[in-house]
Parts: sequence; C-alpha cells; structure tokens
Amino acid sequence: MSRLRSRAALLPVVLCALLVAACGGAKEPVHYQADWQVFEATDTLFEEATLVVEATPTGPGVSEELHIGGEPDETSVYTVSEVKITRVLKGSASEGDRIKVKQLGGEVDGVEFIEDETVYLAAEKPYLLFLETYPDAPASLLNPKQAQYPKNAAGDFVSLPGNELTMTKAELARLAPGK
Amino acid sequence: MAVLLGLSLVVTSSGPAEAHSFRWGMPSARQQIRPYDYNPTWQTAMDRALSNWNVTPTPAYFPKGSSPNTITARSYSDSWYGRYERWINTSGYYFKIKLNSRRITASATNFSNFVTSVLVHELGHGLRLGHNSGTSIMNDRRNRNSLTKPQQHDIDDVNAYY
Repeated sequence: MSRLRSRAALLPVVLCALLVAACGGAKEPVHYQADWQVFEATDTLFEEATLVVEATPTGPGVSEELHIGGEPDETSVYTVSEVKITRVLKGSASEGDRIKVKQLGGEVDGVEFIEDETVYLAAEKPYLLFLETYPDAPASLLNPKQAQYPKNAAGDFVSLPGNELTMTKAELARLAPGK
Repeated sequence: MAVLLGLSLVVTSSGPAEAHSFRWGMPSARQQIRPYDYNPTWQTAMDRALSNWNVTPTPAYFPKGSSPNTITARSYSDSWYGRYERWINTSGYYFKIKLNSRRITASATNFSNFVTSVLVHELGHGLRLGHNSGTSIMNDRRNRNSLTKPQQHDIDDVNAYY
C-alpha cells in the first residue's frame, strides 16, 4: 500500500515534467520514411546510376531546406555534403570536381527531421558512390545503404550493414572496364 | 501533450509484430485524407490504394474529408518512389505522403499497380507498419508492379497495433 501511495505521489511530478518538456523544451521531431528501390545485383545499381565516383566529403554535412519539386513553397530537410571526386567510373564529371550530395534528414530551426535508414557520409573518409544527379538539386544516393561503400585502409570497399551487395575491385573493373 | 502521445505509442507497442513496428505511425487507424485531384490514371491508382486498406478486416480506414493528412504526386529530384512524413501541430499528429512521379514512371512496367503499391506501402507507415522482409506490402523488395494489397502479415500487424 505504501508503495502504491509513493507511486501516486510521483505521478503529478512526472506529468509536470512531461508538460514542461512538451511546452518549453525540445520540439517534436518530424519523421521521414521513404520507399527506395532495392537492388538485387551490382549491374542494375551501376546501370541506373547517372554518376558513379570515388569521392571524399570535404567536411561534415550541413542541414538545408531544399526545394526538390512539388508546390513552389514545398521544402524538404536534407543533410548536404560537398564531396571531392577522386575517380570517375560513370557519368559527366572530372577528377577534382566538387559536387553536393544530399541525404534525407537534418535539423532546421531546432526541429529534427529524422530518417531512420539514412547513414550519413563521414567527413574526410573516401567512398564509392552510386548517384542520381539533377539539374536543380544536389545529387542523391540511389539507395541509402546500397549506394555508398566506404573505402577501408586496405583500399577495399565495405558494404554497410543490411546491404547484401558486395563491391570488390574486380567487380568494379567488370562494371566499368577501362576506368 | 505531444510527449504524452508519444509515450502512449511506445508502451502500447506490443504483440507478435513488435519487432518491425514503426513507432512514428498515427495514434488511430482511422485517418481522413484531404481530397486530391489528378488525371484519371493517377487518381484511379491512388484511390485504389485507399480502398485496398479500407476493405481489410482491420480498423484501418482512410476516407476523404477535411484533414491535414495529404497525399501529393509530383516530380521530385530525389531517388525514392514514395515518402511518408509524420508531423505534429496543435491538434495532434498528421502525415504527408509524397509520390515521386519521375522515379515511378522510370521504373514501372505496370504503372497503375506500381502507384497503388507505393501508396499502400506509405499508408502502411501511417498504420505503424515498418519495413520487413516477408510477404508484405512493407517489404521494400516487393514487386511493385504486381503486389498492390496489404498481405495477411500486414493485416495481422495492424490488428495487433490497434
């Protein structure tokens, strides 16, 4: 009985804390969830990409509100990374070019925009990227996990957890002969 | 209030389907959708998605009416086919669903089915369904050209959540 009484006494304290958090504390996040194409083979991934490059983010990604289509005032929140291209395997770009890559989610005006499946590019780490490019917006990965391969110290491409595709140097040479 | 609602979602997330539940769905399975108006090809495919949920033996029901919940089909410069967003205002949670006509058109061999499949999937997120790998409209490896209806797995999950 005394335990019940002590719990009941705590209830107003807990409710007050929750109300304070709700009214004056952190803003409620917006949650994104997207339906992306999942690739069964590296060939399809390569074919559908408009730009395949090895590239290194020059710094941490920056949250931006972007207009990517739809109504004129319609925006989406992305984390945008500038990457410096070190090798071009497919598409219109040159070694040394710097391009922007956007990934869903970020933080704007104190509101977090969260996409659970996104794995953000790490600054100054080399990657192999399979991108779709646009005339009016930064490029996008074709799939949040299957279209990025961090390069390890041995120079091998690593598949992110949940990505069943394997991208070896030999596989890349087969996909992009002579590149 | 938002925090209280969020907590209630977490603690009521139980049952056999908990492992792949999507915590950011709606508190109720009955959600009005703001009416939309597209050409007959899109309109029919989108309306069919609402119907495909409405006829399931679940509490899921998506009638059209005055609502902050929106479904928009446009050409977007991104690689997703469809996107679900859960927002909050002073009245509570609401969702925005976007269909990317550019990507859908590029990938579809059966356009109408593809549109329906993507929209049924996104509405599934509103019903607290997460991505999974089984025979399910929430499987992101599903054949979008043929799988257009919630599967038994999805129906069981919705009934477990609401």
